Amino acid sequence: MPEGPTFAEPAATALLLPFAGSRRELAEYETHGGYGSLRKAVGMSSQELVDEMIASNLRGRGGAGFPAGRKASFLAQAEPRYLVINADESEPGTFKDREIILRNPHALIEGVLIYLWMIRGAAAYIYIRGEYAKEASILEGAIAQARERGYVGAPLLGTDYVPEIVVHRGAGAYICGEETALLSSLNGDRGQPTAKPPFPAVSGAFKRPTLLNNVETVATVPTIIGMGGAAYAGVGTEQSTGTKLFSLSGHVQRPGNYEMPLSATYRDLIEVVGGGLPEGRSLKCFVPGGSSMPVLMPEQLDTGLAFEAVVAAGSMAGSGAVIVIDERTCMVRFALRTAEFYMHESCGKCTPCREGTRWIVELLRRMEAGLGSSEEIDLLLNICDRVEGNCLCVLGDACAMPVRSHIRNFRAEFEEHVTLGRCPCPDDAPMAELYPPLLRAPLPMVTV
Amino acid sequence: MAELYEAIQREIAKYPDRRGAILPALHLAQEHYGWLPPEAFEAVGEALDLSPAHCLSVASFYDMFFLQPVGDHVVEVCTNLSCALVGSDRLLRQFERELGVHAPGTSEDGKVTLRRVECLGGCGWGPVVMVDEQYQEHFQPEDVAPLLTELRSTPRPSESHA
Amino acid sequence: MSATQPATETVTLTVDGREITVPKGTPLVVAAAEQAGVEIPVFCYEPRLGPPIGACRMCLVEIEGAPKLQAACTLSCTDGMVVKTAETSEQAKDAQDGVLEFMLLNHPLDCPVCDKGGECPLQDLTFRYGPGNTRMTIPKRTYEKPLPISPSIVLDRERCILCYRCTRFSGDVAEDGELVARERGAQSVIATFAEQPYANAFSGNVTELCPVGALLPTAYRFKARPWEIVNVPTVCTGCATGCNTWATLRENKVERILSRNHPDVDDGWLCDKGRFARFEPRDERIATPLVREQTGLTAAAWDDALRTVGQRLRHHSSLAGPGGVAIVTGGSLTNEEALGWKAISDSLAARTASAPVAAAADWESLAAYAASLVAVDDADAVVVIGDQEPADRAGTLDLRIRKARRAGAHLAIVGPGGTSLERDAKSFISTLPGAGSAVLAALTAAVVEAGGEHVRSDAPTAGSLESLATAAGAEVGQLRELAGALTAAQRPVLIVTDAVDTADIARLAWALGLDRRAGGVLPLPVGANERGERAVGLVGGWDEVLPALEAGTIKAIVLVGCDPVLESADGERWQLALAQTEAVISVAAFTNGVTSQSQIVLPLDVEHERDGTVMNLEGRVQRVRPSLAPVSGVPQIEWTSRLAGFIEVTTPASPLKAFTALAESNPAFAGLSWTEAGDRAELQRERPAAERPAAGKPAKPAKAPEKGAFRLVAPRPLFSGAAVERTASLAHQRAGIVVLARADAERLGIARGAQVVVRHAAGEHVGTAQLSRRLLPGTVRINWRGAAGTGSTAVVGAQ
Ligand SMILES: Cc1cc2nc3c(=O)[nH]c(=O)nc-3n(C[C@H](O)[C@H](O)[C@H](O)COP(=O)(O)O)c2cc1C
Ligand code: SF4
Ligand code: FES
Repeated sequence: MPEGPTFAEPAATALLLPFAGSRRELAEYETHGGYGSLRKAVGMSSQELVDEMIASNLRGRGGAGFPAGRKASFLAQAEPRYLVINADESEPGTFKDREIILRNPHALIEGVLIYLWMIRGAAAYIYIRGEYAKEASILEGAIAQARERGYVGAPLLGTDYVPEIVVHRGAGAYICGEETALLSSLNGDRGQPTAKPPFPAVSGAFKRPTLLNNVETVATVPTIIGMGGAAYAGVGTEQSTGTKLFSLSGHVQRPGNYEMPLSATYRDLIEVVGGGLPEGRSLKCFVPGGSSMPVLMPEQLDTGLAFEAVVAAGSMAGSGAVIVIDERTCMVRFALRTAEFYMHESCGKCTPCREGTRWIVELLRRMEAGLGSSEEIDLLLNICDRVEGNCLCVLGDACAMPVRSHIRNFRAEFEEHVTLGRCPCPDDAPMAELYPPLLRAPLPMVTV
Repeated sequence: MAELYEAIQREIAKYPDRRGAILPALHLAQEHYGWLPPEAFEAVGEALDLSPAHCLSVASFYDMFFLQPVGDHVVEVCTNLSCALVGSDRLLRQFERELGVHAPGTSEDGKVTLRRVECLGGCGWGPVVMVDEQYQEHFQPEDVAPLLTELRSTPRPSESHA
Repeated sequence: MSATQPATETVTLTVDGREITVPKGTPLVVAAAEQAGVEIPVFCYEPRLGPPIGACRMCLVEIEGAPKLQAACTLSCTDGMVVKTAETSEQAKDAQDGVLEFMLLNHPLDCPVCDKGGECPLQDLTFRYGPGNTRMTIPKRTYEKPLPISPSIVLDRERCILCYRCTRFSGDVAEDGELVARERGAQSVIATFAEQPYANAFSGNVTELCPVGALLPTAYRFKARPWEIVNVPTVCTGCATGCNTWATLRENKVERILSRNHPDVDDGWLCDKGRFARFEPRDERIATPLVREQTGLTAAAWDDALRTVGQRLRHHSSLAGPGGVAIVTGGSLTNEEALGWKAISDSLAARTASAPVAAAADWESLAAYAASLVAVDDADAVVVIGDQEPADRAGTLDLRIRKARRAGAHLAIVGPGGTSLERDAKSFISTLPGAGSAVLAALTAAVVEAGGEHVRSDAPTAGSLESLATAAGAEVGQLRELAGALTAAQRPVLIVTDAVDTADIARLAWALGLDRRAGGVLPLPVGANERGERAVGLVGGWDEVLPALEAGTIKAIVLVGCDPVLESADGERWQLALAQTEAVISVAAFTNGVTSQSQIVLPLDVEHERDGTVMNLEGRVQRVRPSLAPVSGVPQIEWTSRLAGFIEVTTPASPLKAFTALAESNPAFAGLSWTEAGDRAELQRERPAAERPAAGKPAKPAKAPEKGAFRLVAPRPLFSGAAVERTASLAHQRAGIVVLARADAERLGIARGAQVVVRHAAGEHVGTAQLSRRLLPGTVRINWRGAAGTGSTAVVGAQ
């Protein structure tokens, strides 16, 4: 990964990431004012901190966009309580939390310490996806520096409160990004979601009240406390305040992570910051917020990046992962690859997701191979309907929503596959060598 | 053996409930054994006071734990959307040709295990390949042969640390 | 017992247009079915497995105001809730059809050859709601099948709908974590670890929990169809818990045992002994009276045999005077059968002995502090004292203790360690083996020292806390902590698993003021109906009879349904003593250690052959019903009455008459009704006022063993006895185990899983090594089939 600038115009408001390079060293972070917000926070009461978060109107950056301040205010009072940071970042197309950890880890640590102080948490657990081995060791290093500096593992800045931070590595399961699944995993069970209630705010990590937030959300906390919630709320739109990181990938000239004010548009991101599509290519559609979101069409490029704007356009801002797709791409294959991912990642706990995602994949596979029929396309839509909204968590929806949007927007392509009896794409199209399904090795049988 | 037991006890100390240490314990065991054979689950179960079956149940849920032996090096190619859009399938086939195996599989000489994996979170710099838990970005088919030559001549990462 | 409950708050809601009012917090699925008469279909929902998990999604309903359908099983009724089930909501109906279709995607639909056919919720729901035709164009998942997951259970993964009932039972109820799901998503399967059998003592429950034909008892496969069977309601007499069961009868054979769920007794669970053990094969049973001739035991006519028995007993009784005859039982008779023997022994002025240790069976002396089984559920502290696992003596009590702990009770285990309950206990106090009595005395002193609201400082203590703790091998600090927790608890339950003098228990109970609190003491009898036999009047213990037998003051002995040669720690002494006794008469189901020494052997009736009542460990009188005729053709109660005739006493010849006699004349049975005992029997009990127990010296634990030897902990395991030993599918439950302390194992170079030999006074035990981090070093725990004498020494070596 380039260590150089991945930020360009027009976000004159780089609040979270440094304009250039990285600030991995604590000393360097402190020379830029780092840990100043922590000092300020220690002089504030829990309620004042929560109020500040509410005033900032920061919406969670993990995908659902839930107001961070309100979430903090729900936390049950019983002790001990825990803070859990969601660094599982696995939604395809998303790589922003990693950028924060690589380039500005102390922003996260400072945010964690402020949040820990706010809830007087017994400890914070940073649940980081297993594949981020390097990132985990960078975090460990940053925490070690903070420990050396007396911010961690010792009474915090003259108080009698001792914060602890543990980096907890996952082991490769997308579902562990879903908060209740993450908590099951942290608690030593299979990483499967659980029914709510009980909500994590009442029973989460180790069955105790738990505040759980995304890396970016928490890394933004020092900025908010530093500049004040109200000032932060002045950036972005009224309903989507501040700046947010967007992960740009796919058929675009300058892929990377960009911090954008939420008042900007997808056109700003893709065309201005990202440099548009490579020469001679045209935009077929784009994924606005991670692979689970319905795609938007070229005519929707002027949609705002704000949560409410994306919803109005018929999709969701999700994790902020924007995947640009050019005109040569086969949408049946794109749908198949999308669905395969969710099938592979389905935890297997609830019926519609476990069986539905498999059925969707199998049908898409038939279609991609030119089998099936027009009725089967309708069957596929019907299965998507029966999955969506009926599962224990929204992983099933995450499979059904994009597949449906691909069929709706590109039905002719699907029809063409089944009437032609093959994929019409040329050999040099993206994903032309589509790889067969991802299956694990056959299971050894148990005999007694 | 005793080292693994002790290392797991140190992990347990970080959690208010010993069960919380199961993932760190499984990571440690995989480092120790190279993969997770049945005795790894017995050892982890004993160290955590949990049934080996529970440890297996947890391990088998995740993609990073190997329930079958793997080669000295593990090469994992992301074929998820962003990488696929920029040619990861072609790259994977190149690996397969060079290694003479289908993913998931291990080359005949036992040197390299090839796996196909889902999004690694490097989407802007695809195709991404993870080699022994290290990311390599913008990986092109022509990079395959040099990498494999290098891997074939280097020992297992755990041994090179030692 | 507890203060008057505040009137329960109620809520009013609408289900499919019907307004219902239910207590706040009632699960919606329950309220809908019971109050609105709307059945919401469920698969994964099973409240006994813990909180609902909302996994199968069969129960989706529309809730007014909710953006999407909700799993009814995870909802509790709230005020003003408006619920539309599939009956009235198109959306819910479509979702439910969808879920069912998803479930059948992989299901083989082999109902005609499936043993669950006819009793299968999936089959029922498919008929009721299922799509008529299939829209499937994709292949089904296939698996090798059936797969034995243990000798007693087979798994068919194709039929499995992944409702996780079985794995939740294993993980969250039995807490063994041995039956698990492995892999993820559509590849998830139910499995055990590395081809090992699912060996939990309660494993059979999963066959009842599984809502499809995926987990079935091996013994019942292809045995019967639901319309050919009769289910007889009865009570298990495998131990003193008294779990309520159905015996499934087909063509004169008990093919299956199912739970009859008495929430106050068994919570709907059974242990594998109760479920799978059978006194079979029937043709190996002692089926006629046998009289010893030159050639050995030979079949005799009933009247001849009974007359001879009567004559001999009268002869010895008149010759030797009171106590010259002994009637020894072991808690295996019904109350009604026991009544016959009581009359006989009275007329012979015989000694009786129903329990291995007399002082440990003086239940009445603890009546003031008695706890019921449900008291464990409500307990805020549960203390288990003794060498044995509670399950060794009271199977499903183990599950109840775990349930209490999960509900927040402070669970403390006091013993030498190496048991499965310690793992998640709040506190574990290490003591010497065989130190139950000393521990109780030390705790009494600690409680008196701690003082507190309920504590009686006048409780007799047998010495200083320090000296008593030393005798018990316990740490003073730990005892103080436990005493603190016990005095602070509002509803503590004390479970004593060892055969200690009940006076030891009474002193602690008195100190704790357990008579004035909810909770109480729950000592565990050895025999299934030990309490009943004693209540009928067969008092005394084997430990009192043995010296008299050895001294020759007992001239004639009748052993009814017991085998002290195997079941007593003094087996060898019993064997010698019996050999020199003039008249030995036994009543047994199979030939055993005492029949070989008997001149006359009479057939014993066993489970499923007897009609009558038994009294469980809490004192609940429940009815056992016969499914089969006794092998001998003559019910024991009937021939006992004939035998009584030869001794010139009359005893009732029918169970009902005997029960009526008991209800009329015996205070322990007063007011009981035959009909009620046969359904879900109530526990009738009033605690008498407590009296300050007399002071006494605690029994001392055995002396330290010779250098190099180990102290032995060898309780008689749950999986022992004539029926268990004859049930092939329980062989894995009896497999030899040797638990060693980690430190000892390391010292001896014994690895986990190694085969180890333990030599002890009663024999040689070979088992697989298990390492325990809590077992007291220098101690070895084994699951010997008999009673090997806890506290005695043993020698351990790798095989
Ligand atoms: C299937 C699924 C996967 C998710 N993955 C992630 C993830 O990788 N990282 C993340 O922060 N949140 C993820 N989420 C969202 C979390 O459940 C949760 O809402 C979020 O972490 C809360 O943090 P926030 O309030 O700061 O946004 C996922 C949700 C679902 C349903
Ligand atoms: S085996 Fe039966 S109980 Fe277990 S998950 Fe499958 S269907 Fe449910
Ligand atoms: S019964 Fe409600 S989800 Fe299974």
